[in-house]
Amino acid sequence: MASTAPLILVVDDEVDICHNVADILSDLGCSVDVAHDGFAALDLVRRKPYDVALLDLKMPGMDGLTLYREIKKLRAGTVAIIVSAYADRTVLCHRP
Amino acid sequence: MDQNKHYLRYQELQAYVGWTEADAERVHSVGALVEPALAGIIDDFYDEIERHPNARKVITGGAEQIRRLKGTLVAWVRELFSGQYDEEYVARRWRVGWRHVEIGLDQVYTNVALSRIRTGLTRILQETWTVEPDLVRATVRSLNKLLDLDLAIIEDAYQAEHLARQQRTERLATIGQVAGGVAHELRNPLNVVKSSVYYLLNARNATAEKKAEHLKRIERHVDLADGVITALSNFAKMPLPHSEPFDVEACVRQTLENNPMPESIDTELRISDNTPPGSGDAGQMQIVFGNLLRNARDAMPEGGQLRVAIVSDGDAVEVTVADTGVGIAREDLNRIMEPLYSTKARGLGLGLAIARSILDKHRATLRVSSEPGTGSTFTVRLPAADGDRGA
Repeated sequence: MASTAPLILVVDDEVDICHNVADILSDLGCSVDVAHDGFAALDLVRRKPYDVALLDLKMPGMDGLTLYREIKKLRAGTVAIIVSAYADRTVLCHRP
Repeated sequence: MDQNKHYLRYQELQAYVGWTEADAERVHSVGALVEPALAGIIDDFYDEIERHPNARKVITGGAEQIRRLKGTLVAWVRELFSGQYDEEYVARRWRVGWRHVEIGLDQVYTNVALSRIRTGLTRILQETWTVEPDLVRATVRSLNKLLDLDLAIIEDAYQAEHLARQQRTERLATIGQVAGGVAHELRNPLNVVKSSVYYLLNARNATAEKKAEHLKRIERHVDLADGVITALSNFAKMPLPHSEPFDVEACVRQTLENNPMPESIDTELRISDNTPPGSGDAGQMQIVFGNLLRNARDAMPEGGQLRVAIVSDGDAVEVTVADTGVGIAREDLNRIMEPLYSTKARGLGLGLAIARSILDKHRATLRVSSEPGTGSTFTVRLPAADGDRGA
């Protein structure tokens, strides 16, 4: 059973937001890991083939866009989604 | 009310240039003499404007506007010779300066334009007035004083209006900055509340522990949002302090109790003997100490030592809050007390600005010394209550 659950990584420097998203997705039957910065996230990505990675755009240290590119280098098959409260066209213009 | 203020200002300037009733009479006496030449002077004035693009560009209404402006200028010059230099006269001069800001006319053009009119009027007196040369000279001197006074009041109005507009612009920019900061600070707790509520409403397998965890999280973030609003309203309408003798130690202890430190921070409070009561508003001083304590806490995310000390030299009581935290970079040190300046990932940047504004009203001071990587020390020095030390 566990092997068929979607494997999801949630990355956000806001700890409580991270836990809430993780709880909601877990309740929907996903297997969820959380990380609070880009470097911790990449450690996890190296170890597990996530189906989906949800990334906050604005994070101290490594931002979501950089993390997105790094994840794509490590795991081309992982769908990475950048989530942001500050979305605008300059972000939309960046294509992989 | 302003009109009266401008008139008082004008009278002060009249005294400055030595303007007398005799000056007024001399200028008034040549009104009829200059009247036939006015149209020529005004035409010359506008011909000159045509040759200066920067002056010309403020006239956007074409020939019709120039005709109207000429009328205004004739009235203005005619009024110079009216002999009535009363409140209304000054008010009309003031409006010229105000209007120049409104239309964006560089003030240098007022100066050179007036110089041109001055030359025209002086020439008429010197070349067409057949009286004693001494009287001509005296009248020209009087006219010059009057023109200088006119220019001064126009200049004054220009500067006052220019400054007022600049301040309005800055105020709007500040409101924008505050609004952006508040939006940023409120969005995060609201997102947490919203997603927790979503979980509580929709989760199919939520355990009792999970539900309790989310309710606590909601409560915590409502408090965070409330704190943002409190900081903002504290800053916006801090009342004047109600100063009276107060027990500094009790105030600091209460503040420490209201702002508990995590276990990773080792807190020490030292009080020297015979510390007199401070003079101030204990409620507002709690806001000051609270901001300093929370800053110290935030500067030590990995834990550390918080040292709070109360000492006195008799005239003043000093409260020192020292941490062993991240410290403040040299380039930030001069700016940390500016409103809306923050080096924290979260925060409006109002804490120290509020502290300083409160301390200013208490005739108290705030000193800071800091070493990046070692820690920071903030020292509040406030007046000791006079006389009765047992208060």
